[in-house]
Amino acid sequence: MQCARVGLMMRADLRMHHIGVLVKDIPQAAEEFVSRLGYVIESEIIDEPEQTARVQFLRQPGSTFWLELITPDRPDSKLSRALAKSPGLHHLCYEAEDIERVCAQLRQESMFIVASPTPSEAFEERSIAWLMDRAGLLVEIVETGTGPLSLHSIAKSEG
Amino acid sequence: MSTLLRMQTIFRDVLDEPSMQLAPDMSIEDTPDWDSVAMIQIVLAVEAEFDIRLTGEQVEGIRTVADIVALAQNGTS
Repeated sequence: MQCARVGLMMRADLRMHHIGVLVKDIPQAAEEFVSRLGYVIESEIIDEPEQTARVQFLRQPGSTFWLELITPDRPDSKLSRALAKSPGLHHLCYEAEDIERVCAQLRQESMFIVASPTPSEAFEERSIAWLMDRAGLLVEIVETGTGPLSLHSIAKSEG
Repeated sequence: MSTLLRMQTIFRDVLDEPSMQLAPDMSIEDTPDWDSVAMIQIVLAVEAEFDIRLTGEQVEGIRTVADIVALAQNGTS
């Protein structure tokens, strides 16, 4: 229990932002999440050419993070192979104030850097970075902000 | 089985290219499917296959098949 408390204190700079789910068809998947599980669509379908992907964000009312539906934007997208091999859960994303420092820390803690921080169209040019742990779990870090798709915007809308 | 052949099995599995023929001089630049995610997936498979542990610096220095074969051989010698 003591270790869990220390862990929470050490990682207070990381807050769950979204869970990424790889799907073949965003509108169809969104409809299923809405009708079956009570999600609400909270963004348009966003083109992310640098990620060779299209994405859309959904959230359950009251939830403090989003679900991101992701699909390849063309047949030779870097996500096409992943979609063919293992659709479904793709990554976890955390929001961080100082993305460079967090990436350096996680690298020190044996995670591999997949992509260094770079501006993202989905997050209004806030930086994102990608890492992978030794179990093969893909982790995204997105820089803290105050605009749409920031945790600040959830806190504001939830009052 | 040679290190290169063991590596070829890993590359074929990760890149989902069952007939891929691996050559030491193959590089990230001339192998489009060998992207940054595939690189880490290959590294994790290499660590398991050769019972080694690579550092971030070592992984970031990999540019060719020969580089990763050398790391596997050095790690197990």
